[in-house]
Amino acid sequence: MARRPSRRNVLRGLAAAGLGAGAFAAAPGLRFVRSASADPNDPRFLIVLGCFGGASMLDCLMPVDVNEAYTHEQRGKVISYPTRTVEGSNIRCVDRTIPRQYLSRHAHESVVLSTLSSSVNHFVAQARSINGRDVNAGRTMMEAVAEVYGAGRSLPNVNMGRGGYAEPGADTSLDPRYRGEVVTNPVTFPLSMSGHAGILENGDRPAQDAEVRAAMVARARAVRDGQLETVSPFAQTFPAARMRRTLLQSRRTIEPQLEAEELIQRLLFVPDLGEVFPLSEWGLSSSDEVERILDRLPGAFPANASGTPQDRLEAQAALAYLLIRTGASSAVTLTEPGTDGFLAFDQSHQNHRDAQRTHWNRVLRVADDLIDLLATAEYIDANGPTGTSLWDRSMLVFATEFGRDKWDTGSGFGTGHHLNNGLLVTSPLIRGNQTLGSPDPNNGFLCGWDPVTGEDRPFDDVPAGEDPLFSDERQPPGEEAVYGTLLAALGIEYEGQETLPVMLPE
Amino acid sequence: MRRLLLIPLLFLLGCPEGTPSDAEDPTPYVPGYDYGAPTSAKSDLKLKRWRQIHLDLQGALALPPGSVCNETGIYDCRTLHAVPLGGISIDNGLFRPIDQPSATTGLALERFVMQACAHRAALDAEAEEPLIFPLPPDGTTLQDDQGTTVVTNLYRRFLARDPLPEEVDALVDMHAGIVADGGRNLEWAWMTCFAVATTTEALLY
Repeated sequence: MARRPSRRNVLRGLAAAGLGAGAFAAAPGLRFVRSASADPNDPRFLIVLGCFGGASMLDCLMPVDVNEAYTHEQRGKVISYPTRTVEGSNIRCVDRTIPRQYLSRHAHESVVLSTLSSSVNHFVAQARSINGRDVNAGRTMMEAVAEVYGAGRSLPNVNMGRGGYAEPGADTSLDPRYRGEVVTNPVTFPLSMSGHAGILENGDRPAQDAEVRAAMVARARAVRDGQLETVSPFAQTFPAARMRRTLLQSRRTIEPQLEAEELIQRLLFVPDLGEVFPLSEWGLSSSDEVERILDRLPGAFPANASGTPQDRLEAQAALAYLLIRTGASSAVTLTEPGTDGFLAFDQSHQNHRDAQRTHWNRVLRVADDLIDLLATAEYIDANGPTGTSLWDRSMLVFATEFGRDKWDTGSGFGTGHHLNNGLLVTSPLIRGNQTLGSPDPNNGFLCGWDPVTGEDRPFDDVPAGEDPLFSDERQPPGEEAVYGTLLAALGIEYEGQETLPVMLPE
Repeated sequence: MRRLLLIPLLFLLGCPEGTPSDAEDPTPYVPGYDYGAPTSAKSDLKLKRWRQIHLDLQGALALPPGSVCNETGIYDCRTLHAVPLGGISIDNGLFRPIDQPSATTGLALERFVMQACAHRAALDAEAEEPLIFPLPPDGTTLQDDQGTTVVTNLYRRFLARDPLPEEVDALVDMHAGIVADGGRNLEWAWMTCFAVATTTEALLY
């Protein structure tokens, strides 16, 4: 019987003739991500540390000096601190041990910059801080990095964030592999890297031998996928169901890769903890870097059988390091979980200074340890050791959703949300040791700056005690330009990309 | 002419959801053509979430709720694997479930099932009247009726139907391989339970 050509065959023919390609290029609304300078064999790593709750630059790395702050009869005094500029640094910080230590080690590869957020809703602003207000077809920075540098990696984009920092981007054309793999507990996450390892306690039965068990599971999977999934009435009825195809495809691709890379062991950063986490009893062992990691991040493992690490941010940093170290990931997101497990910087509503101090100290301390781990680990490519470190090709972005109110209204004061703020970026891939924008001692606003020269655009004509308008052209740049600049530094380009050249290497 | 304009548009849209990736497109209908078994036009299956997976395993294997799956004997899989299995995590500010399987979804499912099946196998090995696996656990031979009984028990309990002869044969034939790998009857029963309970038929609805 003569058969009608199927739609698929028609399309194949069209594609071969080039017609399809022409139509594709001409289609409105479609965007193409270019990566002109990006080479997947010369990867970059992006680490986003979500400073959840409203980390104010005015309270750490862009402070007003207490001796310069204006006092207004009704509004109070502009939030200010004793300040210090670490020797050799162009970045002024509050005069406190941890910010000073951080800058003494990393100022040469850090930029602090003022920005103007577009929302004071936590989740909306968090999401915009990582997606640049959807400027790149809606994909997040992490997704963009994973798409360019994550091909072939087992977990290209891992997200330990929460709220807006854990939101996937809006680009529906993005390969789902590059969307963030959500991790809620870094300690136990590696257990989902194998379908059979660590399933049974040690013992005398054949199944309790890991190798025997692995062989049997492989056999059972082969029967299941090769025979049962073919002959069953269900398979006959739903041969094309998207979800079924997705599961079967995953069994052929990502799942064998996760097991073959032995990530169940290589990502485990906690030692055997006896009753708390009896690894060896269940035939599991930890990464060979456990001691090195816990030397720097001792709070990363759980203290009791709840499985919750003593310090959740340290646990995130430990897993972030191993994800990059093992080559599993090219983008990792962490989020300051807060001392109460949720509010983090948003505790500023109750007590601004205490909250900002506590959480800035925490994120800077853990970031310093994470950088140290990466800087002392050699990057090994397909040809072997490279003589460079993992840190040499990494970027750490302290993402902030927005700032806080600018006025100290008296002891134990709290603050609301404020659009004017900034962020910290530390990376060998940017032009470091720069402060872009400066705080106005008369109103606490951070002014904008020239994107090419970095020269301040101060609010000179605004009377002391009054706020500049948000429409003032001297306000700092928004999310779009920051997003474009950070990706440019990582070698990623896209249509319509806006950059801030002063941050990029000359 | 209008049809010609539509052709590039079709290419743009790609294959609609539900189109076989490696088979001829069954539409449009051609009278007289043998399309094989009837297929569903809806193709909108959903993956069971962690709670239903747990309830299915608990019910099918008659296990106490707290002992279906506990990683390293401590951490309840309902919590530990909640997010990749369609759950949320209030503690982590994840208020909406992921909208598609993640990289670890399949392996988390396998661990869930593997542990539940191991638990039932261990209980039956000790029981005077085994519930699902009436076999000498340390034997290395399998009678046809023994194999058929186990496979039928599993299909009825997990899939609410009897197995096809081909399905029985495939699983009974697996016994020789399991023994060659170093396993015994109990290991075969365990792996058979694992294979049946992780079919897409058991996981999707």
